[in-house]
Amino acid sequence: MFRYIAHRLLIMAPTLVAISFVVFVVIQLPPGDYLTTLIEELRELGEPADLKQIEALREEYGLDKPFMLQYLDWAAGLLQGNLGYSFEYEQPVAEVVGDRLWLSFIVSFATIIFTWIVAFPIGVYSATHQYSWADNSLTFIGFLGLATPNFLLALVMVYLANVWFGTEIGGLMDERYIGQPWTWGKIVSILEHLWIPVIVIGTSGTAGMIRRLRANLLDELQKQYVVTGRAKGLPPFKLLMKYPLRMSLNPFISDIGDLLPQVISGAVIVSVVLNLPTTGKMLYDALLSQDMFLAGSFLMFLALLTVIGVLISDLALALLDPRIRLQGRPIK
Amino acid sequence: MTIHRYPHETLRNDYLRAGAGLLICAPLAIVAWGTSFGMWLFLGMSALFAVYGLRSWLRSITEYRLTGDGLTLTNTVLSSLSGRYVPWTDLNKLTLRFFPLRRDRSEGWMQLTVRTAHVRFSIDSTLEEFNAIAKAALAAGLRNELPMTQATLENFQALGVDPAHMNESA
Repeated sequence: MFRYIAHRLLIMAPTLVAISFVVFVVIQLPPGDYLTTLIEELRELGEPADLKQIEALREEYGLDKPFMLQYLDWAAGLLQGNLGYSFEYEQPVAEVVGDRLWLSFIVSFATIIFTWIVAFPIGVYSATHQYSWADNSLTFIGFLGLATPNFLLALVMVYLANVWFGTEIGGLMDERYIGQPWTWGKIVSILEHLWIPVIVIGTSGTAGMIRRLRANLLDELQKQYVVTGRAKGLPPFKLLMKYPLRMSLNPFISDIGDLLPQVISGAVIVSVVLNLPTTGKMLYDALLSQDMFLAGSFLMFLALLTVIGVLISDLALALLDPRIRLQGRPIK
Repeated sequence: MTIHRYPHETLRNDYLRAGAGLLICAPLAIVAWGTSFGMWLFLGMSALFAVYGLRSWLRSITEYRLTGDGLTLTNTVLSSLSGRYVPWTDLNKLTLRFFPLRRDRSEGWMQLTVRTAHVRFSIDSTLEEFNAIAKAALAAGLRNELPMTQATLENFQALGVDPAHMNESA
């Protein structure tokens, strides 16, 4: 296992370095920079731009340096925990982001847990009771969930909550806790508000997972070893848990790497509709306004989540399924 | 008796991996010096690659001696690590795991773990004549009626050592 971890980490480290370079290229690709855009906007509005201040900012943040030097400065800053300066908010990125990264992580983590808790029993039930009325009903609901965009579900829930209960369901905490330090009351308030975004963001993922688990498990249940197990009189539940369910979980474990960034980046429009103080909306705005350090920090955060997710899924797969593929090429 | 060592080519590749890992992570740790998360992350990874290099060196001075009675580990430099012995009659656990390098499991290596109450060897399939050791360990496992997982049995089959046939001949 140690050799395996070393192999995987050796891939992970240069991958992150390469991603950081690509991210920097992407955020630098549009012509000009935030300050150029600002000058243009001020000119269009007929307002005078303080060119001295802008030049001072350009010099201070190294925007006048060659591309590679800018990249090295930025990457070294990231390593030292200095995320740079947000030109739009006129504050260091770390202060602008504030609690948003943690809140995004909480929403995403809760969504993943919700997805798994709901999808697993339903997927297993659907596969083991194929074509029953319950399976057909759950399949129908699953298709509805897959076909409904998250932002539409968010709009529907906002509307229904307003019409039926006369209440606003936006936000992730009571207003009095916004921008305040973390307290027990703030945590309780987040937990009270969390279920709505979790259901809204998690519904399509849950529906997709139910369909895939059902299909994988149905494939496994029709294999020879399951028939043999049944013929030998193994209890159905034990037989199900011992091999077919474990084997049908492999694709989910492989997908852990994609899950976290998908949940975070997929929740952008929902965060706008539900007025969530997460990273989605801020990333969107930062990309539009060429706020390069802010956008770059978010993109690196997403990349880091992907790489860590892939590492976790590789290690989990090696632990859970230590089989060779029999038709595979020779081992080293 | 047969003697088995890790081939030079495999060890050279392991040294290269350890060196590359150190070359990437150690400078990053230095750049991140003073910040808690980055520094500890890259220091940890540097330490891991250093241990990996040390482990590769230990492998380069290690030999496995296979006899009909068991498997002995001999260290040609460090005598304190020499003489560890797994007698086949005392074998109480046997696993053969596969570590994939690709998602489709078409490339990778196997690791054989043999264990008695006091000694445990983990041997990679890159060892010279690995199949001979695997075959002897499986025969001992079948003789001792050890429980083996489905994955272990399938992996032996993939190595060309079929447990079903060995069981019949045993």
